[in-house]
Amino acid sequence: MISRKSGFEIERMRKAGELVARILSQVAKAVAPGITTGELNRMAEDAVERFGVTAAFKGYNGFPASLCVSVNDEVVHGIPGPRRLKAGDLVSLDFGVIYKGYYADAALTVPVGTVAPEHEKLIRVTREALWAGIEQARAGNRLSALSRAVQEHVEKNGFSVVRDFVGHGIGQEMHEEPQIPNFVLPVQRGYDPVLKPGMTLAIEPMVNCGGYRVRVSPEDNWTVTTRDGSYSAHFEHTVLVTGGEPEILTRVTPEAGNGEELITW
Amino acid sequence: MVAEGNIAGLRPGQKVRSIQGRDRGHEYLIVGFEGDRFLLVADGVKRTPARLKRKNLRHLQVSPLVDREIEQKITGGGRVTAEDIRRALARLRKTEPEEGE
Repeated sequence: MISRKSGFEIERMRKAGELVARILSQVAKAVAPGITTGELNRMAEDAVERFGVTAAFKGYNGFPASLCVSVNDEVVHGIPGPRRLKAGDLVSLDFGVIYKGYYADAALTVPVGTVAPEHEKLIRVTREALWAGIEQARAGNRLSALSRAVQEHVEKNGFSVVRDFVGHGIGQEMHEEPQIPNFVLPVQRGYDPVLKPGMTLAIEPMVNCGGYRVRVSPEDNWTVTTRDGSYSAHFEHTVLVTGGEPEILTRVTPEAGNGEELITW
Repeated sequence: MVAEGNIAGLRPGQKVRSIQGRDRGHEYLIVGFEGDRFLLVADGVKRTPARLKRKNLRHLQVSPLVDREIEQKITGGGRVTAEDIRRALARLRKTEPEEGE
């Protein structure tokens, strides 16, 4: 059962989304050679406190931080710590909050200093793939149209999409139905729901420079890395399906932004 | 934060039917996934949780029916027994009488 949100629920998710976008933007701006991933997490935690919301990831299935920081060949779920970023690194930041019982979730990958042209392209293509997916998040479309759009854009550009982890419905829980794969199967299968207004989806392509295979760190049981050691990027927005254009919930409206300079993606 | 994905929205506890191989026509429940192509299935009789059958997705017809009890047990990290699988398949057959054999 895919829940469809009512007006007041959407209002709360908008608010949650706006805070996610703002905090992620602030953290992303601080990314520079020399800063540690733990310091980035600290920034996110301070902001959470300042805004009086709850960090969605901390304690989620035992995740120990508020921000996922995944560097280079780390795909997602990197645990922030003493690691110091250096020029040429790719750093993926994934963050979510709970506002009055409702979740919003977003992610972006930023380059540290100057990075290899191949990795610059990886970031650009992953972000474009997210938007190709968002473009399909329309009432009446099937979920597979979204998955296909993401996959095609990625593979056309010579990269691969991660199979073992997927986007998800979001709302009163961080992970709701449906699962949102960033790929389609060669064989068409039964489960392919039609999107309807009021559905809220966390669309999040994870894209690897090399092969799509990944593994979960046996040490911390969280960090997902590429099997072949190739670099990976990750972009995500929480999106509302409407009767018309999809609405991005994880963004800051100009009024709410207060003239603050923000990174958008 | 991404969710752990199963193959294109398939769920543990979901019923499948073999359409290729010597077990053609046989029904199983999904109990696990291997990569993006293979499912681990059991019927609780010949194929038990200790001796799962590995089937290519292409060789299966997927039913929309999911046994919630099995799904919850598996996703909750619990163990399912052969008996659990047999009971679940029996329950699902009851809800889908037109498929009774």
